[in-house]
Amino acid sequence: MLGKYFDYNATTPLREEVASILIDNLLLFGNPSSSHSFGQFAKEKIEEGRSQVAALINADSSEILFTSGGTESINTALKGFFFACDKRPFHIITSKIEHSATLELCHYLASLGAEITYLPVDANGFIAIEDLVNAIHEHTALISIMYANNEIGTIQPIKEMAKAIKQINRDIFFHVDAVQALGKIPINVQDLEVDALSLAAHKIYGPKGTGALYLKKGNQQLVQLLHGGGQENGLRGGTENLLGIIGFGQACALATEELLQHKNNTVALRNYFLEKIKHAIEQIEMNSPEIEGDVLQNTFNISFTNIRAEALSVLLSQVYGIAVSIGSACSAEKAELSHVLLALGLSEERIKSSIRISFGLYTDYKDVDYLVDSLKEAVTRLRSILPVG
Amino acid sequence: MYNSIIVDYFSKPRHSGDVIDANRELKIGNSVCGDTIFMKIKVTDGRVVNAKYKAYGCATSLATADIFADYIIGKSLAEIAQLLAHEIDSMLGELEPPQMHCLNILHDLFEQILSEA
Repeated sequence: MLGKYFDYNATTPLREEVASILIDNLLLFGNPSSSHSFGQFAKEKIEEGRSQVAALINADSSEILFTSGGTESINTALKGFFFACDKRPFHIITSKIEHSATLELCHYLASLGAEITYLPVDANGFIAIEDLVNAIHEHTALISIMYANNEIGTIQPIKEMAKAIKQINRDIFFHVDAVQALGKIPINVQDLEVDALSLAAHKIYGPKGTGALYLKKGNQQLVQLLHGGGQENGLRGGTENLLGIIGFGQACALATEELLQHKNNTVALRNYFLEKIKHAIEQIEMNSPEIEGDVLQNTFNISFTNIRAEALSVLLSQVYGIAVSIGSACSAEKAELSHVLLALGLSEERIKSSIRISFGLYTDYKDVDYLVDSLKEAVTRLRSILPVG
Repeated sequence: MYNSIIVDYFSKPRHSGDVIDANRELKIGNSVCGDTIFMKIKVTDGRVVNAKYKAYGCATSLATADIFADYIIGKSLAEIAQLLAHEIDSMLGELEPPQMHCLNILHDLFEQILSEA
């Protein structure tokens, strides 16, 4: 089954090792806020999870705040800072290719009076540091940039960005959405000098409904989203998601151990896939950057000329059992096109013919063979019925 | 997301292709979403004896072309003219909002085949 799953950027399956830890702890029920032994045992489990998450990004445990996932982490960082900061006017810089959590939130903050700058990207999806620097002005208080893009895999030069930002104004709060980057590339917060970093468990083979926000020491003056019992150092009220945190911790521990090996395997698999698909299918265009360096090696965004991606994905799913995702939704009233591919400057036709393929831990060479063979058959079939004239 | 009728006709199309001796041609073009259907039909003595199509579009619009062809083959134009709007609507099964435009495509195909009769 998993051999036909090529949508790891959407979510990942729970690793067996993680599932096993969850099962072992399923009956753990103590409230971590209780002072008796049941509570304290649960508390220990949470702190173990916190250290495991911290280790993956080289943070201190005290800098990890658990949330319900990437969206909540982003909301906590951005809204939390906006409401905590009395600086007005309030200027936010972000990019045109952010996750909808960031973009929707920026629209909301704009409705509360914030000025938002959406930075453009080049044809490979990179933000120019010069553009970032030029966008900063006296009212700039917050910058939020995605580390690695979920649709095209572009990895932004976060370290250089942080340096440039802090050189201009150390008080600007720099948040990085690292949801897609976690577990795929090494992240070292000591080296990055960012103020906050959002993470999610379900992108790294952990359970859904759990995430974390890294908050650099000294930067923890946010207004909490959830007021309540003072959990998570007063930054997030509500009894902790004990099992979710245990699973997230275990997923991070495994990723810490295996990240480099997994990355190397993915590079080899990427080269194999690219060579194979280019030989097998004519008239395809790569929308994700074809470079070795700053791009997630598991991510491919490909347009198939004269093919509606929606039809191709249904055919792949119904006939071949293959899961991929697409960059546009079918609608009679308007074309709902991927904002990321639009930001690259791609035409509507090219976006409508694009699919995203993302590999993961369980993808192997024979799966890639099956994927390419199935793609070839499906594309040939759809092209064979194209109207002429 | 896709009902079983759409999945069936889209996954296992019965009538894609060309009719060499066609004497009718229907054309659908949706300027917004780009769905295109060219259908060739052979009508003999007021009865559809063959229908095949070439098409570009979403899965539901391709299935719609196939469902239409499947329905009209073997029927007389007089029989087709008896169809009521709600009977046409039910041919595609239950659709989600983004797929609703395919009902217009289907009605368009029926109108075209009858208007040319």
